[in-house]
Amino acid sequence: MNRKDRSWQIGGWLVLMGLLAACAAPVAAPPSTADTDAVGATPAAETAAMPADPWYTAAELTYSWINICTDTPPQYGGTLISAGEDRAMTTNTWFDASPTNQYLFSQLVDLSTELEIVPDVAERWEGNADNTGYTFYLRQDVTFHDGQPLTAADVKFSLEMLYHEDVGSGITGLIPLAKIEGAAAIDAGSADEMSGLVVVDDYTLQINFTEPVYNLVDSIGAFNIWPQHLLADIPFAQLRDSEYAKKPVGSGPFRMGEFVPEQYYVFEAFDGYFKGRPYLDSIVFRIGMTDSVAWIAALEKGEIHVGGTILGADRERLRENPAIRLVGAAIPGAFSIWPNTERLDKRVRQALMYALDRQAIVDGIFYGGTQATVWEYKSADPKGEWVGPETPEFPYDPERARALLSEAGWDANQELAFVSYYTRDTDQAAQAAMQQYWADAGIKVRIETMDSGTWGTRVYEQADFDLAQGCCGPANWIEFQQWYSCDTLYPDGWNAPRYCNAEVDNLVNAAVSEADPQQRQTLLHQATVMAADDLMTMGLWSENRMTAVRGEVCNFRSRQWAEPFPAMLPETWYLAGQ
Amino acid sequence: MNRYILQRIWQSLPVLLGITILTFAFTELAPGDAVTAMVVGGQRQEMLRNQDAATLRRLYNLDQPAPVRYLRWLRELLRGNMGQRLITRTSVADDLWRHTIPTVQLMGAALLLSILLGIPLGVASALHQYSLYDYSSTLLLFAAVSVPGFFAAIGAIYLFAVVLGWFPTSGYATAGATFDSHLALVADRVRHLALPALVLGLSSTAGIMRYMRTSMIEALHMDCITTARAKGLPERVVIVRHVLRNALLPVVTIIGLHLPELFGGTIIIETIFNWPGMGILYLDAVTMRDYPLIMSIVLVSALVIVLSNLLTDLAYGFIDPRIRYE
Repeated sequence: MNRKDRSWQIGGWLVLMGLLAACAAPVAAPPSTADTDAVGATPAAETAAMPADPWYTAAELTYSWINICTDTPPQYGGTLISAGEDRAMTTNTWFDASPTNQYLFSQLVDLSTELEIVPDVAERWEGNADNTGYTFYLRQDVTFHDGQPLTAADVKFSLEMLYHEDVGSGITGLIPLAKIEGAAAIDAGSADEMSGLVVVDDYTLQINFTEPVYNLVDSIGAFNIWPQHLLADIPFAQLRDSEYAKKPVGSGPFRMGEFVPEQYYVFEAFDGYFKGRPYLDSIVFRIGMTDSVAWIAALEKGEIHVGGTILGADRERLRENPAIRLVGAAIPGAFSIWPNTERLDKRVRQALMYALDRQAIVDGIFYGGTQATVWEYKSADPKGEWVGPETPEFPYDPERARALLSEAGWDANQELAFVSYYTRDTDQAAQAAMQQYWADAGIKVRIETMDSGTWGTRVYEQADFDLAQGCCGPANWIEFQQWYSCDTLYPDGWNAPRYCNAEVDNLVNAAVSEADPQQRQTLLHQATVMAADDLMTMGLWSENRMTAVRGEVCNFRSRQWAEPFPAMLPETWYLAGQ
Repeated sequence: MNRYILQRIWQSLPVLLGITILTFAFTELAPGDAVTAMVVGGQRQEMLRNQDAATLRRLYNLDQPAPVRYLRWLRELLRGNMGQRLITRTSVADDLWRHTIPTVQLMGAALLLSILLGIPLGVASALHQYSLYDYSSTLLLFAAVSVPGFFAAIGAIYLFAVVLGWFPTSGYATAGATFDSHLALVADRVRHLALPALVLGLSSTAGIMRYMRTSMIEALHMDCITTARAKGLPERVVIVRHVLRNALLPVVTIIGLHLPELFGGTIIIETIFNWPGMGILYLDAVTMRDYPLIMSIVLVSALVIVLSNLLTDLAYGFIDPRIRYE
């Protein structure tokens, strides 16, 4: 083939590729005024007045979960591009499980990244003497994105909607909606509204319970406030198919912008946000950018500002990059193993823990930044408010493991099935290391990796496993009732280890109804020590969950904790000028 | 020939029906359903676990017996409705279409690249058999095909996107960008298409080249070619009009076998390049046990294969006039 022929062929190929590309979707409408081709673009125009005082506190400089820009004051404008995505936009709908979204919606209260309950729409609240009634006083300057005011009636409607069985929300596991007066009437189908939700006036809501509720404020921020005027006419069973579900209207700092399925969606700044207009003009979320190869390259090149969470060798490499910041902190709970408590003797479960040198494993695999945990709840309750101080620690002690196995009459030829759906390099390396430690102690373990659907069937439906690796573990004591009580064995619940200890259940139930905080703590300490000794779950290690971002994304916050997730305050993020 | 085409389509209908029954049966027999997949692997699965299994199955329309669900799906299909995805509640047909366009673009560009490179290289190798060129081109292409796709993709991203900055690292289009003209839009699409198409195209070039080379060598030794040369035809005419035409028949078969890939996509390359193709959709469907989507993808794939085979058979007739369809 001569040179001329080759040129023609290459030219033809390019033309044909162009024609193919031309068959694609039409030219996208502009989502913002900013050039979004690369993140190096200068944020558009206006700059806020220079604050007289420093725009950060001394304490904030010490937090690993916030990226403070000390040399650039807050400024308006610019489009932030993120590799993250809300599955409500891509895989689920806004009503599946109904988790909170901090971009589009407001909540009654927030959990700050410093783990304090702080006001959001509710500017203050109070409980009555016996904790059977709470009153929330709402701000009067909150509007939805369509300009309608947010009132106590919207909060009442949201709670009633989320309680309805046709909506499919999981909120009831966090907020004790079933204990609100009148909930039983809704269950019976004799009422549409809860009599215990009283709209005192437009901006005051009273919640009355049938029994004392002590932890309401800790969990009441776990739902989005939905607009009654847009949803009241839609039957709850049809919410997920409604037009609203495709383009939700909330009262958060951003509102829905352009949505190009499979590619990206845009949240635009809401000028009428009650805490003030966000600094950013818009946030573009790239859909499907989940593979670390893709987002790390894009982050390093500067195509995106916010990447994903990162571990191991990749994290260490990015740490060396001066343009990148790692933002985050240790997560509560831990990567854990659920032992099949119906199959494995308690002594064997304890032997499995004594056989593992967890700190050596995490040091070798995660390059630091990950802590072996004594028992997963301890990382979620560092102050010991509900985890008893005497919880056994199961330090690495292979001799003790062998003794326990001998005592239990362990058959060294028996092989345990370890099922997991975790396939990251770090997970697989950790599994191999644990397998070796267990083999050294005389326990044969077969690692079986599978997809999540198969794992769910093996663990929940068939209970056909000995050890099951699961993510993150429980992070507050309410989860004893939710997932680890005798009432939550499948199909009534999702009690993975099939743990059933009536004594623990009784202690936790007593704590729920106990008015005296000191006595409640004592009951919970007894329950947690008992469950820890039973090895209801085998806590392995607690990660520092770090998100990789470009250095110029100022005020970016990320700290994973239990539901409700800590406030990321996206309205405070800004792009440092370049 | 029209009768032949209709006959072939008619014969394929029971096959397609059988495929839907088998697919549904296998989907049902696989461990887990959309509910277990969501409760374990979905986002905020802790929240979902606050509902019991029966409630979740009712919410996601999985509480009916399997035969009832299959017949409902079939009834809707016959009405031209592929149904809704179980969890996202989006239209299966819309999702399929949205993923088909990028897949056809990517796989089409890759196939085109492999044809445009593979056929000339194969012809040149055959004409210069056992030459340095023959050996070196074969060696290079086999080296290219031996490199795993994910490795080639990572290398291409690093070199062409990160270091040289010629192409974007991934994606289908510049997210949120505005374009002054249609030409700028096309240029943006081509820039995003180039790297994944190059990685995919090079890996299949070697196969086409080797088939072309072997086929050409066989054709060069045919009696009719000797006759053509003896009649004094110029060498260029002999090669292009006689040798190449005879040699193309087996290569067309190979290209025909690649045609269903135009629709099928490739999971690894799509994932690394964040390309919204069929591979990712299918992976998502299987992982989430989304049976309406699985059924529709398999049905359309089967249809594409049936049509590709038909198209290949028809192409024989154009290339080889001796082949007739009755």
